[in-house]
Amino acid sequence: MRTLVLAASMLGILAGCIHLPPEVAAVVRETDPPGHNNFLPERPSAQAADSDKPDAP
Amino acid sequence: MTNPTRRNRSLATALAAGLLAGGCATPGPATFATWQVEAVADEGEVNFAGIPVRSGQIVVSEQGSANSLFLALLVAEDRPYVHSGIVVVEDGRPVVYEANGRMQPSLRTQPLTQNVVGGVRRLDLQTFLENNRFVAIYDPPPGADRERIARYARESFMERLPFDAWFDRTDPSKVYCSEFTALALAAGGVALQGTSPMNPNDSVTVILAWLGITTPDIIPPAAIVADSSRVGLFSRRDSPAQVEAWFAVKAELHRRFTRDQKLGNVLYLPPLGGLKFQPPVAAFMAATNAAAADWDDLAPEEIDRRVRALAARELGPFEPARVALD
Repeated sequence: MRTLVLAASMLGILAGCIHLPPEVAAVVRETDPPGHNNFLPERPSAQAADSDKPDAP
Repeated sequence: MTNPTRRNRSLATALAAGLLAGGCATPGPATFATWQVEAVADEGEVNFAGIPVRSGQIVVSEQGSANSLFLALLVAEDRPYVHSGIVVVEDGRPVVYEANGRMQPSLRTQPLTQNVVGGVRRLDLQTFLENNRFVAIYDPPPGADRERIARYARESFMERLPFDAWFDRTDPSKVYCSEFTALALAAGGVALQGTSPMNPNDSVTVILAWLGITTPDIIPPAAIVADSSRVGLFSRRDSPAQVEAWFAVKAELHRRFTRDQKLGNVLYLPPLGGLKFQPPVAAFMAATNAAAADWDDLAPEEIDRRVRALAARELGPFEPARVALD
């Protein structure tokens, strides 16, 4: 039981340590999609797969 | 199947050998991938494993971690190194004084700057060399009063000068690492060689506002050693080419971190634990480090070119012309 309480409080401490308000979380925890992200390559296989699809009627 | 007793004995032997190797090894060319001493000790000077160490020397360093990159991206200009300190020889033994901050766990939901504690501390040069991934030592400019530099460092430590998580260089009652180093050098008559403005990147602006950091600029370690001559370059696990490649990687990431880019594109903060590199960034770094193991004969310009080629492969092509906001 003591271990459980300790683990729960440690979790609280760690979670509290990195609480971010929404505007900060939006720039730290979110990423831009490929094409707008200079650190994320566009996946050629996905592009190729898309181009292989028949055009919608 | 392996005999558990025998396996445990082998493990114990391996551990003991590792401890002996780690605990007893003196730093030097045998245990460091880069141990490049570029100055000669004068007569009577302290020679630390081949390094001519003198009070008043400056150490600059970098861990190559996500935190290092975060600090580097907060500043508008790409500069090598994110940390600095002062070497002082005490009783024939070189020590490093540095301003160091660390995050204290907290249940409160306040900005992280308010959870930072620490201040000026002292550690052995050996520990500093072993604990930092990239280290360079510089002599201060000619004419510097080394004893005054050392005295400021020692007195700051004795007075427990606290760490300044807000990077406010106008208030010397709290110091961040390069502010402390600059103040020590100023005590020895060495003027500061410029500052770097904070990054105008939109996501950095949001983060700085949340952290309460209002300073318009910071003192980069590279500015501190701008007029200094290098005494040596050291890295425990990276070869000279890998060191050069790391700084080229950092420069490339900085170049790509244009005003519109979210910090989250480069780094991420998991619900538990500290900052991490985004997987494509980590893959780019790993690919560069592995390739650079064979680049020891290359000129820095060629290393830069190859790092950009690897970046194009791992992170996608990037042309500055794409950037409308810069």
